[in-house]
Amino acid sequence: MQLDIDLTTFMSAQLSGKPVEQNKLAEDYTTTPAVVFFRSDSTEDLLLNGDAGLTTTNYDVEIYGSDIDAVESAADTLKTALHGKIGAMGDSTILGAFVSDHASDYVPKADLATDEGLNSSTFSLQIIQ
Amino acid sequence: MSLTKRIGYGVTLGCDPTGASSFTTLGAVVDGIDGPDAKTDKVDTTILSDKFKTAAGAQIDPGTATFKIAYDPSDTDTTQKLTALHQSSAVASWQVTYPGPVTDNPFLGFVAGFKRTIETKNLVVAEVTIQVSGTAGYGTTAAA
Repeated sequence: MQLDIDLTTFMSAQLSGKPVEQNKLAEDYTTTPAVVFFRSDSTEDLLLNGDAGLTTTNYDVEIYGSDIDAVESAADTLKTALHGKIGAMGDSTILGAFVSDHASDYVPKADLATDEGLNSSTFSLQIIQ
Repeated sequence: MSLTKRIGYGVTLGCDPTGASSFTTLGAVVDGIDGPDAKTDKVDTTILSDKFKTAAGAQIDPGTATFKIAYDPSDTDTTQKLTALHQSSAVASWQVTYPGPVTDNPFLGFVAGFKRTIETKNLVVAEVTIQVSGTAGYGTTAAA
């Protein structure tokens, strides 16, 4: 999905080239902090005649690393850049992006993938096109 | 003729602002068309000797039709056409077409209501109300 690609590029640019991967941890996750994100769902509305309406895509974004200060600083940078964004994101055009905190019972997938007790900061991202 | 089951998806609403029969599809109808809600006036024809009351149908009020459109002030096909009709109160002709295609009879009416709704995370829409004049248009013509 083009939006996934553009989101990866956008987030990497905000973090001065730190690793940003979709659905998997970066090969070198010792370069901290790093970002992994997952597309949880994408819904395209249809108008009555079949023309496309709004497309809403939801992501879970996790920033992880061994330095908690660096992780939280990176998370804040991404939240600020993404929340309320309108317009071009690479080749995609978005009508709005909205960041919200995860529920308290959200389990970071980055934690499940390693046994090193990494720090993580997570948020959910909704993009409407 | 046997029943053909139909759902709303794929149904289109055509409009001829001049009131003739050259219909152009309104492409931005969001999720449904409601009405016209035609109602017949009832006249009581009961006389004293009748055990059961009797009634007859008199005039039919064709009512109104409502639908929502995706509102875009730069959209010449739908938004601008409907806002112009609203401001002029011109009687246009309308026709519902089902996939097939099969059409209802056309009906006449003017745009009597136009209400826009803007919400942060939802499509900007406008609810359009047509006051029907004459027949409500129910009834299917032959396939086009």
